[in-house]
Amino acid sequence: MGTASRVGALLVAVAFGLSSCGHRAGGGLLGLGSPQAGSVGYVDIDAVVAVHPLHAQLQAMQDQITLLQQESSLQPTDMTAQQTATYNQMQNELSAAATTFQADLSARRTYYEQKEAQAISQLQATTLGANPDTGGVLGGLQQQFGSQAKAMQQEAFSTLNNYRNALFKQDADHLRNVQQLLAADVRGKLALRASQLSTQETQYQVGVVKADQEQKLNLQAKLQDLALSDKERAQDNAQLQTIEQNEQAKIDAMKSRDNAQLAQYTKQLQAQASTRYEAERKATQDATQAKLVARQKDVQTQMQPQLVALNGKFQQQLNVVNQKLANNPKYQAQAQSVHDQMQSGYVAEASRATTAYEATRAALVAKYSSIAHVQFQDNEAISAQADKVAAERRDLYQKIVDQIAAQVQDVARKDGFAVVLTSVRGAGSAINVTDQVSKALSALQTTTATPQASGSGGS
Amino acid sequence: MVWFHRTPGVAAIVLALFLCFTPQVLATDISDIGFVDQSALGQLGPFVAAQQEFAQYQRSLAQQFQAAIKGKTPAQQQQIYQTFNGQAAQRQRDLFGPLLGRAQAAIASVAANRGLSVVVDKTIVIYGGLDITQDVISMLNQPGPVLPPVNSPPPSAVGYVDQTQLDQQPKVKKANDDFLAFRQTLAAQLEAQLRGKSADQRAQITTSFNSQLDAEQKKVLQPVIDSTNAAIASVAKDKHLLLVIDASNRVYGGTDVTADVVKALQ
Repeated sequence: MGTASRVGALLVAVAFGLSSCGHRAGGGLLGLGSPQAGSVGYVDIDAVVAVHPLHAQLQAMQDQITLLQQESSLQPTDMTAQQTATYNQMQNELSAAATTFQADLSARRTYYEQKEAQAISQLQATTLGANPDTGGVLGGLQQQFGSQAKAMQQEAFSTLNNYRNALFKQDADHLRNVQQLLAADVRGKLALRASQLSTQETQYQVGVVKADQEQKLNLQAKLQDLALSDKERAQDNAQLQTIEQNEQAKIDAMKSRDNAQLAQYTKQLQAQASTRYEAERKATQDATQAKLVARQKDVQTQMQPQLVALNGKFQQQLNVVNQKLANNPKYQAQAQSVHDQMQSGYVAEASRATTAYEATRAALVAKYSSIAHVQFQDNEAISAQADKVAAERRDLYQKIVDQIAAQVQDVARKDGFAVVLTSVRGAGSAINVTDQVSKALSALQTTTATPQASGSGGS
Repeated sequence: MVWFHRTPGVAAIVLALFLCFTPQVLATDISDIGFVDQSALGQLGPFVAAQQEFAQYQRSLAQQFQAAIKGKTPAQQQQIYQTFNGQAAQRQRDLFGPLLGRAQAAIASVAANRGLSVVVDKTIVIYGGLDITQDVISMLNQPGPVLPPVNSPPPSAVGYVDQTQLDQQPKVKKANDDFLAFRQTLAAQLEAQLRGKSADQRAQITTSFNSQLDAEQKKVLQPVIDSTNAAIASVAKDKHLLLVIDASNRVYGGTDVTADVVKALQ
């Protein structure tokens, strides 16, 4: 190697050393640590489980679960009508037994929950030096906060309600006044128009009478002539009567036109008044609504800090009480003891009830199978069996995963990984350690025992 | 490479400069990955109390529901079911919403104090990382409100993707729907074939059906899964991320790459 090459190699080494200024690796400047020092790795747990020696057992358990689940949904076929009726009767009784069992369990649970809550309340009160009959210190605090908050809200509601009622009354008075003013306006306008029309009618009447006056006077003069024959008298009388009838007809026609015009005008005025009233009503209502919203907002703005303060005070009191209880080992031990007692009491009773329930179901299935001469199956029991196998499978799976996790930790420590994650959706620069873990696990299997399913059913 | 061999000194300096000025995201400090045991938070007093209250509410609602559906048609029962379900969901939100908000604020606050860029769920951490569970519990047990940090989390080299959004992509949705339809048909056929068979025959039939299901899954779902994984990996590399996790496992911080993955899938 020439001098230039040696210098080059040194510079490359320096370059890699410098590069660590961007990476806080734990291995030191010249890579003295492990190759993956300080980096992030990931592992595909499912892939490692798939190559685990017990994977076949897991799969077999899964197949068993699937089969049991399928079986639990099967119903007998090709039955006679009598057998079907018997089967239905059995289902009804099984269902009734299930309902009774659930109700029984629920009642037992509620009983123990209440008993525990009561015992804890008394214990808290005794620990905190309060009256044990007050229904619990924490409950009392909560009740106090609740009633204070409620009182505050009720007061705000009452104030707002009074304001609303006052506004509504004000609006009603105002609108009544508007209505009266509009009615007076309509009446005034109508009276004026009626008066104008009446004057016109009088003038017209005078004009009509005046136009026929000369002819009428002539006829009346002729009728005063005593020498007038009866025929001529009758003709003049008829002519006079016709003139007067024509006059009356003209006057009546005018009055009729005027009446129609007045009726139309009345209608128009009323429509205008109605529109004006409606506009005023809407404007009033909108203004009132805006006032109400504004007032509501004001009330909320005023009340919010008070509620927050009240809540803060409540939380503070609650925290003080909680802290006192949390820092009191005697209370903690007593509370745990109460909880354990109640829990074991409930578990024992529930276990006895479950055994009795299972026996009831088995007896019902046997009884109705005998009646129908067909072997019925208890689908719920099969389903429960599926759940039991599923729990065992979960148990075994967890043990396998724990073993894999321990192996991952060994690999991570050995290779200097800072973090190793699983359930990764995609990798960028993180390093996949799945193969490494799988190989390490295979090597391990040859020297140590593999985990076994406990068969306890898990939780 | 020829050029590199001829001028090793220059190349080394260029490389050194390049590596020194690599974007900060490449220079991820692994100590900024934290995790929290969410199930431990769920065991805290207020959460347990809320769970008990909700369970009590559910029991009472179940009784009311049974009474309400008596003598009703299936359609009416369905409607009643929806109403009750809505009530339960609302109650759940009312009970847990404030608690989860407080927990989220505490996690964010602890993460900010510890300079973490991402906090994930404990279940996905096999080794390393900073466990902040106790810090979060201490903060949650303190009196008074928990204030979230003013600053947002720093950029993180851990990405996350929201599968629920990916599932809405037409290709993914179609594959899921097709597979679901196939599984339902197969389940009906299986039920019919199992009738009147011995235990051994049933086991045989079930195994055969499981094989069919696996084959269909490989045919219909696997290509979509592969293309999605490829898209996620590609986005992770493009964005210089360490890795990408599912959004359901992210608790705080991280880099959301869902939109990029959706784009890559289109």
